[in-house]
Amino acid sequence: MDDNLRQLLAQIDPVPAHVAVDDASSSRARTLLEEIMSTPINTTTAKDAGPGRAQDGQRRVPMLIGGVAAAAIAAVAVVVLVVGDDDAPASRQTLAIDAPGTTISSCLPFDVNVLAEMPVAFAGTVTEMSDTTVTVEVDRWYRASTGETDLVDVTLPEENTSAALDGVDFATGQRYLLTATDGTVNGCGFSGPATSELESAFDSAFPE
Amino acid sequence: MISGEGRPEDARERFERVTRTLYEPLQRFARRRTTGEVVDDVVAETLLVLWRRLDEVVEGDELAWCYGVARRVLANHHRSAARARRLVDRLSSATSASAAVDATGRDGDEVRTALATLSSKDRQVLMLWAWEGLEPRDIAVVLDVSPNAAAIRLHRSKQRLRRQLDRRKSWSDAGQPTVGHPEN
Repeated sequence: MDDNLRQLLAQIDPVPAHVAVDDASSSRARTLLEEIMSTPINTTTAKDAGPGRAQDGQRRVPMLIGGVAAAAIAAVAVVVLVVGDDDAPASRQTLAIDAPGTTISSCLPFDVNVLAEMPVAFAGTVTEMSDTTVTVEVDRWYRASTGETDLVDVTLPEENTSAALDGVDFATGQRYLLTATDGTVNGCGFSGPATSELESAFDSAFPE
Repeated sequence: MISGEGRPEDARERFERVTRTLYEPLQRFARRRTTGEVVDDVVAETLLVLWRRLDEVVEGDELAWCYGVARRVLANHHRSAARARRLVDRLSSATSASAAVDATGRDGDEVRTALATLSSKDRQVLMLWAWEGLEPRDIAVVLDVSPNAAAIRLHRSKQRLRRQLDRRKSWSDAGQPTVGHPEN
């Protein structure tokens, strides 16, 4: 059963074994390796911090290059639906963003067909920002399996706010196109500032 | 500071030996997750970190250790200003991605979509398992978690993928479209 699942995933491997990559004995590789081996060795810094099985029985604290701790943020999806007149409080729901180390290393190539499968997709403008939360006022719901609320609060990772949106920080007054699965905003190009390219992709994926 | 030339000969020998076997898989790892010149940057930066910290890497763990570094290098690139341009690159690659779906046929299309709609944590562990061919022990090195935690994470991610695939199969058997459904 495991073999079957592995086989299914292997067939969508974008770089399977039969696709040639640069050989370690190529002149390009040799130049790179020689250059590296002639590089001065600095004292270990956080910049170099790598993973590894701890050799002293204790697990090292994971470090990202740049010193950002890889803290995954649990997805929280709280939906509060309030239907009423204009005086009623705005309805809102909460989404989370994964820490960057998780998001980028699991990206698949952008595909409108995949975008079309996202259970939550909307457009909106950032109206409020704090250290922990960004509030988005929704102007269009493309798909709303968790309900069409007026506002969406996006809970940010503790030490980094930008990775899930392709390195673009949230900014008040900026309009974004966002998708989410299981209460977590999807990165990998499936969410981002509302450029004409992304909007056109959303229009294709979610025809009215 | 110690100069590179000043490293003991056995360090150079070990570096040369391990890069002979991990240079190709490391390129595949990067190409599966990013595009263009970033692939070369990820490979070069990862090997540089390996060279600098070779003494700390357990014999036999080098490849998984490098995957873990590459993962962080990717995250670093992700935060850079160039990412705005990368988004456009990804969008413009939509055509070739669609062509790949056609070439792999219906199953590939379904699997790709099922995988893409899982959480990034699930995707990450499944990609390491299926594409890099890692077992929980090595996945643990990449993710810097205990082998037990890696095994549990992999087990749960497989379950969620199977559920997604079964769901899609039942929709398909019922003649329902696979687009436009709520996730939960």
